[in-house]
Amino acid sequence: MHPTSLMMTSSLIIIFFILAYPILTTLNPNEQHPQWALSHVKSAVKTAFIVSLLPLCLYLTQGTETIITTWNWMNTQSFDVNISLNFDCYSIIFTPIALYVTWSILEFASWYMHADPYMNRFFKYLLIFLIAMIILVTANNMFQLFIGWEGVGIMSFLLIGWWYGRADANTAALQAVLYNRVGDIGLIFTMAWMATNLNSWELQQVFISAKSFDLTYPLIGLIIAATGKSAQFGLHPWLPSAMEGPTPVSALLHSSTMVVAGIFLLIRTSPLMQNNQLALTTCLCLGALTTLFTATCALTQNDIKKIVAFSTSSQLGLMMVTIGLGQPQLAFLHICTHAFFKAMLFLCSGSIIHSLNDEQDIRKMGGMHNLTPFTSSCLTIGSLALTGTPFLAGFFSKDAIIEALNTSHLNAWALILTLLATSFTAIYSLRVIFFVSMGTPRFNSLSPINENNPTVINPIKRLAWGSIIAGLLITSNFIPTKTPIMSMPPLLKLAALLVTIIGLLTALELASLTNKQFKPLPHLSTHHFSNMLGFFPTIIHRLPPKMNLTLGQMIASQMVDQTWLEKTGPKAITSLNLPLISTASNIQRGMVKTYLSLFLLTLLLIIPIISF
Amino acid sequence: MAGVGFRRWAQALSKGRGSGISALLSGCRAASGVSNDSLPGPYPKTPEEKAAAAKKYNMRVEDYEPYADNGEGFGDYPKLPDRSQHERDPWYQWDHPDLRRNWGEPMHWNFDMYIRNRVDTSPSPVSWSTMCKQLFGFIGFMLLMFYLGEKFPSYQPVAAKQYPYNDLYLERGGDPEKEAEEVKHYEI
Amino acid sequence: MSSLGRVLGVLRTGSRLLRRGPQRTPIRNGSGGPHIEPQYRQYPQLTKNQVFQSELISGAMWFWILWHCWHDPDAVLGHFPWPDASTWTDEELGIPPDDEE
Repeated sequence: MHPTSLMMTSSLIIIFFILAYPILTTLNPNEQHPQWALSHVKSAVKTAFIVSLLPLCLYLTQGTETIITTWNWMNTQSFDVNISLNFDCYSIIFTPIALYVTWSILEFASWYMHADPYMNRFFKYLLIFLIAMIILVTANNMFQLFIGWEGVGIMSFLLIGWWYGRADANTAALQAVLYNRVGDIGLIFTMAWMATNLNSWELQQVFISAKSFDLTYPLIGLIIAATGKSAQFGLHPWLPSAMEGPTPVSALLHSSTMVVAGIFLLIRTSPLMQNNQLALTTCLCLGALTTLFTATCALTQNDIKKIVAFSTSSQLGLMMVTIGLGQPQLAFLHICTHAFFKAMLFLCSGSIIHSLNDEQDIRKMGGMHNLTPFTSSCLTIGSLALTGTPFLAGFFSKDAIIEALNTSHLNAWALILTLLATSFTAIYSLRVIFFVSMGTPRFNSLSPINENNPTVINPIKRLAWGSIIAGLLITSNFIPTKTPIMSMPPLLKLAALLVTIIGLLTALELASLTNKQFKPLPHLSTHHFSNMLGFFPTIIHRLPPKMNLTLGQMIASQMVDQTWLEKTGPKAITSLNLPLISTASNIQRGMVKTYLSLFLLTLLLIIPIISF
Repeated sequence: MAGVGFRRWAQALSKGRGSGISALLSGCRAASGVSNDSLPGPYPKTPEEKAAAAKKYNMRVEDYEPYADNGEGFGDYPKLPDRSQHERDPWYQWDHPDLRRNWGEPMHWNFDMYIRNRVDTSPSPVSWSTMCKQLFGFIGFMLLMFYLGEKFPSYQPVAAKQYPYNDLYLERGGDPEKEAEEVKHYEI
Repeated sequence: MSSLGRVLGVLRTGSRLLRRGPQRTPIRNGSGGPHIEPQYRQYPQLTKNQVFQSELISGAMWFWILWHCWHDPDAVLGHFPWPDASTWTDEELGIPPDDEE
């Protein structure tokens, strides 16, 4: 083996071992040391991050990519399942980012969760989640990818329902797990299709042998899988509900890593999709619909975490649009930059929520810039990066996506929706800043506001630096396989910025309304639509479950129990026997004539039998 | 477990009080089906029966209303309003705060459907029909516009596509006998 | 002029408030980071480090943005000028003049 690739693979294997070691220490039956979370988990993730920089440097300088197939796991006569790891540009770039973000979030969690009696278990869950995520990212095999996929799903369920004493948290966890199962149906369907038709789950073999097949059905399966995991329209309501979990969980799972797994799956399998126009158009339209719908919902939410959650969903829609455009690398770029500023936005909101005694309503915040200057500065940086301010992280991916949209031959409505959603991004981001950092305080004056804790400031600072410079670092080192269009009319080039500025101006105009004396605004019929999340959860979470449960009960009790088990069983026997019994007993009434005639009748019958 | 069961059986046999089998049988009950006293009673016809049934279910006679007697096995079970546990007061000191239910309170026939993890019937600020109209109208409008957008795609070409050989006259199934008319892509 | 005076007045009271605020309840540096007393209707107390950090990060962001805007405006405004076909001359395009032939 070539020394560079040997170095790279071995360091990536070392990462797995470093991360697995703290999990192994929990097998010790003795109780964990209270500092186990920080001393083992955080330092393991930090070490793993530093180790992961080595393959990243090797990749950036020499462009090394390797695939290692180490162990034949199981085989039937014609079908092999191997353990094979794929260290290509996606996994090599994403692994350090995931580790960096996780490291910061773990440090933050040690402050946010310090009063939790089960903090060690919380950290253990986060670590298991991280390992599953890295398995997913490095998988070169559908089966391995599926293990990672389900691993992150289970950990998401456990972490959303962390405060299991609350019915809302349980409901949110159930929603997450059920919506993800719908997506899994698609993934399993595609895997079954691959196993039966292509006889392989290895991605490279799949790409080669799939060329002669009509790939519409498996691709639809993959899109359903991505819809479930990445909260696209139709299967999106679990993501805002998942905000019931602790804020570090929202920061790690529901913004930067787990929810991008669906998009990542589509990026991994993008060679399959490239020649299928139907799948591409579906992705494009689905993504455009998601990005607009969720951005609309974010406009009128009052819960700070919900706003950030909806903006995540909106950005995921934008990534889906990019996939539909046939530009998986741009989508990957957006995943990478998005991880930094979205995780940071969540950490900032977590810091504010914790400071205000668990108050999440932005109407009850205000003036935070005078009280927590660092957090609110970083909140502003994160929001600016999210809206795509030039040269911050979000710009490099978002602007590139919108340029690619503008210069491509695509569905006009999808383009309009995406641009509209981009301007909505500016509106709700400004709304958050306006309500949280600006103005006068509207909260309880006894709130224990204190951000002077290194475990708060350091993670946020790290991510803030990331969201300032990561975009340029990644774009200047990441070689796109598709040549980006460099020359275009100024209007198209500036479109992304223009819609953002239009959004900002609208938001400023709206904000100045609230500064004046309160006037009851005219009733807007669209307000309810946006505030109640487009009525989607209300309708979908009430009607089908009610129908299903009522129908299920009808089938179980009225149909199966009463009709089949009772009517055809005991009652049928009864009704068969009753006429016989009644005739038999009706005859015997103590009348001599009846007995005599019966006697004669039997005699008459017996005589022929005997005589012949 | 099997070993424990066998030992008990052997003990029951060796004790010899009554016959072994019947001693065993008296302790067990068919696992299928509920016992008689936990099933609803017969449908109440007279006011007295109604009052007795209401008392049995810890209800006031005015609130008590049985399901229609059409042989579906509801018996005298009270027909409670279809309200989910979401609607109950979250700040009241319920005996069972998680289910928001007091001890001895009559349960809805479909109680498991109306717990807080499942169907929610709490009133919404907008009526059900308006909500349905707006949501499905929105989705329908989006689908229509996506269809239209597919028909009229957006693209900013610098110029019309140009091909050699008279815009691929022969390759596009032009008549080879006839001379194609000259196509000019420029004007001077 | 009067508005300027008002602004100065606001600044003066503000600075007085700033000076007065922390004196009442001093920030204690207990174990592990500064500890801020629970407060009721008082001017917020901030540590210098906190304010410095926040200004540093915001300043760094603006420096980053403006520096790149100055040195690398292409990324925002377009890398290559969009060709305007109407300004092209016939000589550049190699089109013979109309009266030739």
